[in-house]
Amino acid sequence: MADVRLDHVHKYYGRVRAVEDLTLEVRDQELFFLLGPSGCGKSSTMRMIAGLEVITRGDIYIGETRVNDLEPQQRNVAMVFENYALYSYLTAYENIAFPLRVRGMAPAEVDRRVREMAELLELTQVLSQNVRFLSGGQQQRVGVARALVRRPSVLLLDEPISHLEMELRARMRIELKRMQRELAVTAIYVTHDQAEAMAMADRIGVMNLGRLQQVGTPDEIYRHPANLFVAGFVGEPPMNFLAGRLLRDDGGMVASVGGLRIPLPAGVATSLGRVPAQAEVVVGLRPTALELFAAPPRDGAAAGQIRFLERRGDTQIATVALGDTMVLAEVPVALRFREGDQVWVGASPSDLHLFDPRTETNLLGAG
Amino acid sequence: MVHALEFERVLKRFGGKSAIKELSFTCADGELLVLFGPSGAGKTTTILLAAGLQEATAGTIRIRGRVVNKVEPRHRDVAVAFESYALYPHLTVRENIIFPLISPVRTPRLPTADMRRRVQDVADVLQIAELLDRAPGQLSGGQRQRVALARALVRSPALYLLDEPIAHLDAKLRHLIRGELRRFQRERGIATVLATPDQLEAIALGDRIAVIRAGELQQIGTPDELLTEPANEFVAASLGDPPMSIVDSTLERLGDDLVVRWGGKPLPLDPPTRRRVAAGPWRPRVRVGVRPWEVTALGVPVEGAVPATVQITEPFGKWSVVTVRVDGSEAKVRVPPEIVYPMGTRIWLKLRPTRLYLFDPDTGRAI
Repeated sequence: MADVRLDHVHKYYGRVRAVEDLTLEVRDQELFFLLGPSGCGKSSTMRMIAGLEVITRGDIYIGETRVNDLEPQQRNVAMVFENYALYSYLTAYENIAFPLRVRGMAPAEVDRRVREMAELLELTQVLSQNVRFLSGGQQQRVGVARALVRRPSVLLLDEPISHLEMELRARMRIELKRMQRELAVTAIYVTHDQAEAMAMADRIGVMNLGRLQQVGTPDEIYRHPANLFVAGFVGEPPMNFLAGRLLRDDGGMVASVGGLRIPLPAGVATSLGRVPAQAEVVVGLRPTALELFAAPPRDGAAAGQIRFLERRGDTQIATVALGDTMVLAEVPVALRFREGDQVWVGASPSDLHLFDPRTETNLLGAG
Repeated sequence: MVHALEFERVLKRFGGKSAIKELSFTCADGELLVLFGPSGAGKTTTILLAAGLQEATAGTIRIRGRVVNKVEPRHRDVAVAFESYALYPHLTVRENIIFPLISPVRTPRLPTADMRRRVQDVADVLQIAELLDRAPGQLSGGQRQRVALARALVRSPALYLLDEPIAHLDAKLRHLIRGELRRFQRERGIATVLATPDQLEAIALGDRIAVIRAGELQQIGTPDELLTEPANEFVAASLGDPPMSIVDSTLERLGDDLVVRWGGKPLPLDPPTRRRVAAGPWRPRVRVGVRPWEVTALGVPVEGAVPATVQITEPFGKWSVVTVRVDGSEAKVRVPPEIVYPMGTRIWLKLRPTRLYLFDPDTGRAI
């Protein structure tokens, strides 16, 4: 068991900067997520930790050991890929035993370790079966068992479930998290799926364009996104961004966006501190922070038109044309709106985000 | 009535295996019909059969009333878009989109001005207008997919056949494009069959949804019908976010009431369900489906609440989903985002007076 530290790590492929100046600490026994869109540098980062890519600049430590110059097999890390890469002609037992056998371990010790791992992952009943006859979930457990049987310090998971069906994926999420907890192994998990990261992670590192954008717990990332990228990437449906202005009004502060006026809570106005009045801002509103009304409800609501309605479970997502911008609002199904309806849009000031339009950073500070 | 597309007992075998088993459905004029199911369900095969890119082993396929089994693809008057995008790399985006309008079989040709306007229209709908003069090689995957879709939508055929046409877009764009695509399809009034494994997309886009699994139609109906009256466990568990929890239970008479047991507690049946049960043969064993948002989680026991043990809490930002164990089977409950129950916590579930979904434990069919 070990922590993993990246110290000013860079990865260039020729002139392409895949990872830039990445400094990060993954704690012992933590389930840490690297989250970002394709091309953000998350997979390059994982491959550098595994030793599959040369580090262009900077240092990586696993525990106290600097691993830059160690071969992959000397680093004591194990990787699980999406397709598990199991040997389809072997039994579950032989698949799990494989990494120990190639290291020349004594058969009695191999048997002891395989059975111990099978017990932990509830595979004892299927050990003698050929892996191609196992369910997707069992195959995944065999993959994890094989990765963990040689007791690595760090487990690396590269999009292990992103192409499974929704239902199976939901079950696998829970199972993987349970395994990681029970085995108390440090795990780094790469994904582009924000829901997966939110649901499973102890902490998340969000990456974009080769740079780390923010590190925090799912709650911190969701409630206090550091910048526009994080705010737009995490959350479903995604946050609405609207160009607006800060105004002073009756002693308080108001964010004005088109016809929409949102009074800022006193605490928010205070923490804005030096931001000048009349400042241009980007106002971030999650779809759940918007309310829709059939009649003008109060001052500060803006008139719009419902362009499109998507039913969810007990909620529906309305795409609303507000002037020439579109916003998404998530409202109860019980509100019987129809496409084409004129509505009034109100916003909850308690769930408001303000960003600097130039630097794109959160004016209220990050989590 | 003449349908845009009609499948009548269509069968497709590859070697000895049936990809499609006696599939019958219709797509009405102007309708957007979604084919929804997991990978391997037969969605793509259905699209290929309708397009004429594969030949049915048995059964009849009609387009606008005409039997097309032996009609070549280019004479079927359909426009097809696939998930994988085969663009001409040496042509610009504009030339790629206009290509279907000028290829030799399209006679008579439209006036050039009309063609340009059509290209502009679909480019606006799919938000690729600013990419028209670029080469496909300069585009991202999501952009290329929209060009491929534009190439289908630029035509005015009897039928659009779209196989996962927006699978590769990021979350924000997917919402907007869904809305635009839906409106475009309605305005043009061209019948469309769209295949997707994504339940949110199916519900958002479909006038009706045909749920297929292992080559067999499970149910066909409006999104509302499928959500409120699922024909079987598969449909019930595949639609709805988070998915319905379905648990083993028993049916009992309690005084004048009919109840099902969950965690030892009696849950009274709602009047419509009760009438249905009373009308059918008596069955002591049933499976009971509960929507996760119909359940309230409580930290203390109250009258009638079902005791449960927390397996895991998954935060998704706007809410958290708690997976619990009741009597050895798992269920999901939706809770406010600030609630995090540690693994093993004892909680109590209170069901709102609501619709319960009952299924036959042997066949999975709705009772």
